[in-house]
Amino acid sequence: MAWRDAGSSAVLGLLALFALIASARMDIGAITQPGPGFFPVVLSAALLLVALALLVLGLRSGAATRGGAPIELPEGTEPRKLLGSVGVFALYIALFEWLGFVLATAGFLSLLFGALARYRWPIAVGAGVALTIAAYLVFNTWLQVRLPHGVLGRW
Amino acid sequence: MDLVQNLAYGFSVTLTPGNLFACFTGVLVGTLIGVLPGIGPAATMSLLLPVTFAMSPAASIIMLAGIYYGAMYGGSTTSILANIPGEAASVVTCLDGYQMARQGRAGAALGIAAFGSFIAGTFSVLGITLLAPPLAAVALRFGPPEIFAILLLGFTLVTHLSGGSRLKTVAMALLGMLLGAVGLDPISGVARFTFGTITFNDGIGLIPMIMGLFGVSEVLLNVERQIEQEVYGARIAGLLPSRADWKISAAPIARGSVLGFFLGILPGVGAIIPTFISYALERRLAKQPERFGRGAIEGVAGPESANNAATGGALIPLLTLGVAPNVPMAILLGAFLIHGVQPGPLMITERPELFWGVVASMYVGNVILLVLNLPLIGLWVQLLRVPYGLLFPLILLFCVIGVWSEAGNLPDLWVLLAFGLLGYLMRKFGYEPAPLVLAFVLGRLAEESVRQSLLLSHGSLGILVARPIAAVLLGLTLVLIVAPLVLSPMRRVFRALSVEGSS
Repeated sequence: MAWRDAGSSAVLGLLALFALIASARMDIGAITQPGPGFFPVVLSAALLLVALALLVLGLRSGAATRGGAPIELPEGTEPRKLLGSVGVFALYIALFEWLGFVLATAGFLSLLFGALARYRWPIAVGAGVALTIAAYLVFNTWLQVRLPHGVLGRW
Repeated sequence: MDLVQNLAYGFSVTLTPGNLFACFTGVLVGTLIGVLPGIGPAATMSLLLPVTFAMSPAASIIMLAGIYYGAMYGGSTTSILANIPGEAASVVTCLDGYQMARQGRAGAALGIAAFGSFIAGTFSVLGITLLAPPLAAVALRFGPPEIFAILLLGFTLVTHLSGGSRLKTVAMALLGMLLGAVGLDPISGVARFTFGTITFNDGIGLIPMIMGLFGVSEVLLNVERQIEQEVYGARIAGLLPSRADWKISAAPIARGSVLGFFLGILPGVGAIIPTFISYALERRLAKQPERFGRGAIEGVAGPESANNAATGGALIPLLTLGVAPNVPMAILLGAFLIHGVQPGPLMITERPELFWGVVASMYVGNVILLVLNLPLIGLWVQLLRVPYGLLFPLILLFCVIGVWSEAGNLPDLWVLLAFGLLGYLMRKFGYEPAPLVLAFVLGRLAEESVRQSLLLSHGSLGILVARPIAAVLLGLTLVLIVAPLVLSPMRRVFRALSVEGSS
């Protein structure tokens, strides 16, 4: 597991380095009068140090960090379902405002029910549409959350 | 008037049919809406604020206060059932509450949360009755240096919070504070880490972040395993906490109540810090700290009591000083002002019916909350029987609606997805999301308080130790940091000596 700790801390370290460079360009001020860049510089420098320490520990031995449960990456037993859910979720967000809540949500739920949870399609679509309408009534009509109407316009 | 008379007067106000009805409605609606993920107490209160305009001042404040603690309790329900914290104060409840639900002990978790909240709520009402005026005076002395000192103490305790590597916890806290720095600098107005766009000028949203890190990432973790079978398939054991549960939880509830009440009074602290400190404390005191994060009931009992007690504590600065220490209290302050009442030092004498009426209504509200929620536990637990294939799309949908309801802002939904993926990876690599969230929320406050302190002292760092309360808090922090470094080598030396001596 050592390489995983080393890998994740290397990513963290790169992130810290990037933040350090970005914040060093801001006005740092002095310790008695810190500017907007002061805290970001201190924080990213500290994060860089911690990431380096994690990297060294991770490289030195697999047991150096008390990592808890074993890490099972790449994915568990169903990597396709994971990628599928993330893909459908991203598509839903991308279309949420343009298609509007009702169409996007009905499509999103039906697709997940049918393709990922493997319900029969008539059931998947029926449940998707019914739950969309219920959610719309509760949140938009009753609780006055302004959900996007999208291509359907106001109705 | 003495105490008993005051309270009796308060009850006579609360127990009129109209006010009692307002209290009941507030608690009921607050619980029901609070259960919907993403809609926290502040959102629920602002949604229903207009409804209260037509009521008498007492009825409207009683109803809004009822909505507040009803929604706080409702938020814990989703944390336990679906790992979706509706707001930062119930993040900690996810850690063990959700694990308990997965082991078929959702009923015990919900039950101990309800009883703990009731006990803590009752304690904080007694606290308000006895201590409101003197405590308000102390809270007034909390300036930027004291706030900074208490935040530092909080951060130090948080490094004891996680079950995993302490270095990783520190890394997550630092990352959280860095993420908190995104947006316009509160003092100079300079944009930080916004990459030239205006999307993140207000910073990264808290709601999309916590719903992503906890709700979405949990769904992703479950989906990659088998989803046809019921993930929560475990047998649902008992709807109420058992005698053994009570034995373990009694002390955490008591400690959480005291901690939550006194910290809740402090402006800026809100209900978040007490929950984290209570969790860290229980973990430190536990005989088997490794149970935490795997369904330890103390991990639900302590923080849930702390956040409810903090709710009561937060009423003290509002009622006695007219200062709103957090957003829900600001809405309550707004409601007072709409009815032409200015909360402050004079309110106890000028409008005693309001002051004592609200205090007594909290007592009645806590009873209603308990009576209402115990039967509902059975209903909530049934929800877990819904097959996961049907449940997980709905959890994602609720996360989206919760995020959208806050600002109606599309980039927030991408933030939700991004933090969902980040949370998934963090858990795969053994990093804890909770310290990140706490540091994100408090980092900004910590930075502001240091910079304000330095402005106050014209650039002298001495201000952080020159004021007694701040000095004591910083001293305590130092002890916490130094003690393990000094004690463990000493213990090793003693052990070596005693081994030598006995041989």
